[in-house]
Amino acid sequence: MKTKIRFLLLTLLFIGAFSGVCRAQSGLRIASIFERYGKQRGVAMVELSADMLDTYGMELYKSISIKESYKALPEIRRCLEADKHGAKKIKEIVSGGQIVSGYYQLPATRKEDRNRFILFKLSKNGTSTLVYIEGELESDDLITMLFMKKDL
Amino acid sequence: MKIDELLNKYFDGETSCEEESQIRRYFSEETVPEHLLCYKPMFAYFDKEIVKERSKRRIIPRRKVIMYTLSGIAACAIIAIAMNTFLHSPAEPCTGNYAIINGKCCTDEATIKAYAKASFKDVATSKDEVFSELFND
Repeated sequence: MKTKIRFLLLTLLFIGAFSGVCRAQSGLRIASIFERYGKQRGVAMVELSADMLDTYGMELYKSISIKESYKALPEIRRCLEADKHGAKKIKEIVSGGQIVSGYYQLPATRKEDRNRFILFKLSKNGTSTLVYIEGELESDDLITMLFMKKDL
Repeated sequence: MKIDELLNKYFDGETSCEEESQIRRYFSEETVPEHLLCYKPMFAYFDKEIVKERSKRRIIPRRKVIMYTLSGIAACAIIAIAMNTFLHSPAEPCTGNYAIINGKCCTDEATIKAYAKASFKDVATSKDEVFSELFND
């Protein structure tokens, strides 16, 4: 009986701690940013799946724009620092020792062999934008799109 | 105090618990005066009912108390998780392609695309911006 109760309590704790995080990008710290700030005022969060992204070689596009992001910014930067470990490519613009713009290509997922990218930028008006992309899209294609400021 | 006085006090509702048990003890004995014999079955019935009532009150084992407490905590935790999920999710189900703007779910394709394009443009960096960051002191 005691074992059953312990198991029940541990299961509940586990569910409570991870229920939110599991919904977004699995295994990435930035998932918590989407989860925590996605439904707040002054925030726009977008999710597009393969049917709307096919022509771009993407299968998942998630973005979050946080206006006046001074509160969220330290957390976003911490998440980026954690997620960029093991990244295949990192391109960052750092100002005053802080990341203001970042491009990270993460190792492909084991199961589906998809490329994964995290993009981040802090605009001059204080809006932080975080983008997560998953798909067959190659790094060069994405960089071209970003530097050319091409539309999606 | 004599039994008659005690009985009068009893019927006036002025006896204490101790005095009532004294009366019941008296009527449980075999030697009861004839003029008081009519009360004997009544007090015998009361005695019987008291014994019955006491046996009904069972003691809940400690393990069961702990189990009930833990079950209560578990139930509260489930309710808290459910409420957290309910309060943090938008009124409309947001699945597939969607945008959540200021906490409101939007599934209109044109709006979603517009927001996606805007966020993609926001993270894009032009060469001018890179140079500006490089030489801006």
